[in-house]
Amino acid sequence: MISVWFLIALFALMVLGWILWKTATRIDKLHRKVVAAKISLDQQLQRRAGAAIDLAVSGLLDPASALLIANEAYAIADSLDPIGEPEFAMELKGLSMARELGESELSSCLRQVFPDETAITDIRANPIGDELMYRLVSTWYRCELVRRFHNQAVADARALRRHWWVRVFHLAGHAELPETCELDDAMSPALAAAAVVRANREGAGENLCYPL
Amino acid sequence: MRIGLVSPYSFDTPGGVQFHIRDLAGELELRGHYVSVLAPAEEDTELPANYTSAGRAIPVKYNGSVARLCFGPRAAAKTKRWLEDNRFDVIHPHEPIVPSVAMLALWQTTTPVVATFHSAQLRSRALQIAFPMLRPSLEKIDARIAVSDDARRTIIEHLGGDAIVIPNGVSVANFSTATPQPQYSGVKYGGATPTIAFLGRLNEPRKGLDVLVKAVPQILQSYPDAKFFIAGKGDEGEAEAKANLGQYNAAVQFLGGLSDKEKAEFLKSVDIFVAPQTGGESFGIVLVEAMSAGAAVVASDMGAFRRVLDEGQAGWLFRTGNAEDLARTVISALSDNKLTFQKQLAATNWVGQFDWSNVASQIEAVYEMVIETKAATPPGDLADRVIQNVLERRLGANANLGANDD
Repeated sequence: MISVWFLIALFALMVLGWILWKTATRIDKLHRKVVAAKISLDQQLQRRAGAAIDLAVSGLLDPASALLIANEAYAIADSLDPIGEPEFAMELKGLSMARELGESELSSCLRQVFPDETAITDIRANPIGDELMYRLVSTWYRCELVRRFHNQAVADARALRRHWWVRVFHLAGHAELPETCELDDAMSPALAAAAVVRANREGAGENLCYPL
Repeated sequence: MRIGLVSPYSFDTPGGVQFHIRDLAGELELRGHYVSVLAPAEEDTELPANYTSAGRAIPVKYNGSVARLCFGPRAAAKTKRWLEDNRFDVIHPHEPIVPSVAMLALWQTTTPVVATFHSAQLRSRALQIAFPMLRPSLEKIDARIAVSDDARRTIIEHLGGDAIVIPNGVSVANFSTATPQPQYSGVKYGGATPTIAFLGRLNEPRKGLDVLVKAVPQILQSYPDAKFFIAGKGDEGEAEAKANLGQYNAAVQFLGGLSDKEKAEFLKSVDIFVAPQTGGESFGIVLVEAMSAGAAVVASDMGAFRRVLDEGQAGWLFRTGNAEDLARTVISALSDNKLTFQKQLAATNWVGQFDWSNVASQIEAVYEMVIETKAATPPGDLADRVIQNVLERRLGANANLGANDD
């Protein structure tokens, strides 16, 4: 009789263990997703800053605007986080405060330099300006995307880690609680429209229509 | 890129989600990607080369209406084989919380996932119950796309988190360059009488045909020659509308279902397109199509339509479900030529953002970023990390002991 109960208890314990292991795996996957998104966001933001510098030094902007943009973009280069380094591979904290502020300031500076469509149209009249502008808005849009991926993964991880049984059994190990990345990456309507016009000019052509 | 699109609904029946997937697949192929579409299909349906059938779709009552869904072990096995055979860089299931193929693909995949949510109605008790079971699948989604602000709000409320808004695509040129047909043409193309159009499934009350039917007498009072064209399938809805119209039947013509080409020509020809839907719309693609074709759009003022019409800048809005207000709005759209022209001009600029050339670029950017992000994922799984952790602590402890010895 005892052995039957023992077996049942053993079985229950194994099932519990399996569930806990599965949950811990899920948390680990989400943590890795957070880290991956953060690395990707860091790269994409650097690309945006690079595109902004290219535009600033192109000679197509007035010197005041060029100086302002270059100033903000180079400030970012000084506040880079050592995200790519292997020892930070599983660091779950978001970007540093200085970096977030710097990126937000670059966004706001670019919005001020290109407040409306005319400002953008002038630059894009020049083929090089068109290319540089396109690089800026397309990297910018990708920053917006990746930041959302990152914050989604953070939200998923935090939701899972909130359960009491996750906390009681320490399923997240010693990993710190992941943090969202909060920065101002909103494009002005004029800048967002610039991405649209470029896309239209590329002309993907007519749609193939399959018979339904 | 190798892209796998998954449709929860069968291509044997037309629908917004299916059209979206078909057009997206076409656009992505034009851009040089490898695209494969997995969808439910009848056994005797001939599918284009890059379409794979996941099996038959079965009519199931779900969320208050009958949907044709595909599920079960055979569908799951076919989905798995499709995933394995194609080795995708990214898969893109649509409506992943509808219990059909898209959910099965999400459940079984290990590749990066972009998921599009089309619906603005998720509320269902079954979903609440099944939610904990769906969680692990939903966590696999790397990027969520909502087709409208309304669909996004639904996601935030019911699933938590956020989504990127990328609208449904329309081939604007297909509509703007369609040839006007004399039988539908109104005053815009030199006809003698104004023409007013409706397009939608006639049997579904939420499409609002009865609102238009109730407005017909009042419109005829001001424009006795006005002609109404009702396009869309649904015998019961047609019979009911005819009964309600009574003596006004002569002014209304029922056209039945239209092909894509006929639809474009129809929308191009008519003066006014009426969208009297009473609810359950998350986007309103047909409004964009009508705007692309150059018809003046008169639509219910529900959230999704307001946004598609740029808060009324690109069309006319009336109080949802209110036939009297609809009639008044149609009459002013017909009489105030200057304002109508102004709105149509605004609409022509506004629809650019919904053109496939733009929408597909945005979706492509999402694919790129999802793949790039996945590539940055730290290697190793949980077991590796636990072992590493234990080793490090052992080593750390030894190092500490060593330090104490000194």
